[in-house]
Amino acid sequence: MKSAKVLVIESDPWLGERFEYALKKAGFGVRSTSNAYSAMDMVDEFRPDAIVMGLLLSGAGGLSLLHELQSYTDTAGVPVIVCSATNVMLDELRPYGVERVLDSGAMKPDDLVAAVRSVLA
Amino acid sequence: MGVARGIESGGDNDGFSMDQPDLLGAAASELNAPLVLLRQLSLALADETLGVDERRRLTEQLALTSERALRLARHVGSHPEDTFMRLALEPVNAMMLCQEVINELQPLFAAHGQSIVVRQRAKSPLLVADRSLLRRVLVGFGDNALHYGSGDKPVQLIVEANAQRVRLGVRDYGPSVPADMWQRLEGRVSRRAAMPLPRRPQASGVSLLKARQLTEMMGGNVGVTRHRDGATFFVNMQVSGQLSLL
Repeated sequence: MKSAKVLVIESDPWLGERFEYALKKAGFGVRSTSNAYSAMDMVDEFRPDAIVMGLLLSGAGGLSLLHELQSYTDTAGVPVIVCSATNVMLDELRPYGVERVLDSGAMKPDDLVAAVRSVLA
Repeated sequence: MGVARGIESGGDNDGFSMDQPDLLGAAASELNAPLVLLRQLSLALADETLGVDERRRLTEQLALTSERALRLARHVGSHPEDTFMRLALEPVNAMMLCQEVINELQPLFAAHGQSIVVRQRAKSPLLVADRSLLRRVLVGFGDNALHYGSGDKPVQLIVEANAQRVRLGVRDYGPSVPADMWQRLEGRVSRRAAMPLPRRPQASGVSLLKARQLTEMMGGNVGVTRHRDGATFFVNMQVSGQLSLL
């Protein structure tokens, strides 16, 4: 069976690497970027089944990227998981297509994998 | 200086001030990024399937990130009045100071696949400053440059001088900064919003404001020159007249 594809967008490359490692280990196909501008190109090229992202991104910023994703019919349905250490509530981000919010300071790698599995289920 | 197409802001003392409670909230936000990374790296180390090389790499990342967190904590947590009491102004060799900054930051840059260099010049000017304080300010600029730089070109420490002042700048090649950067930062800190500089995600900006505060204590000032492909954060310090007395 073909593994689901996850795009990781995180401004800190070492943190992004941790997310990527956890997801690859769980069997997902993973690509990652640290910049909101390149993220949109990567979405077009990689066609992810889910997106894991931070909110404080280099370039256009996380909210702009979420808005951009929502504005196209082919990307609006891609489930998004936000990993952030800032105080942000899921309800605030639901209009932007976000299905899960994880606290990047408290979560464990398994939490991230479980969240991706649940949005893909 | 060779940045004619840029737009300069800052560099003047325009009544900057920060209330301590506001600063605390912003400082906590500033420390968030390295602390989150420390937690995730330590969790990663618990994975028993890791190879020796990967474990070594993670350990190095942990050490460098904890050093960065400590630097940030000391920088943003220092109390201005205590610092002022301990201020030790002396003649400082600008190029030697830059080299010390490079020596401190190089391992962190290398681990991120980036580099930081001093733009060499034949004669090194002497300036008046508290050596350790000015070093802290420059290390803070360097740290900013690392996290916002694109990594395509080395970050540069640049020394320029005229008869009155010595300018030490850190040139990065990352996202541009807004023309009204200082006003925005002060507004954010005073509102306790602790939001990052637009397009420069990891900081609340309190480090920059703190750098400005510390530099002004030493009789200097801080500014930023905007470039199309990045920014130069700089300090202007008074030239030391010591040599002219010999």
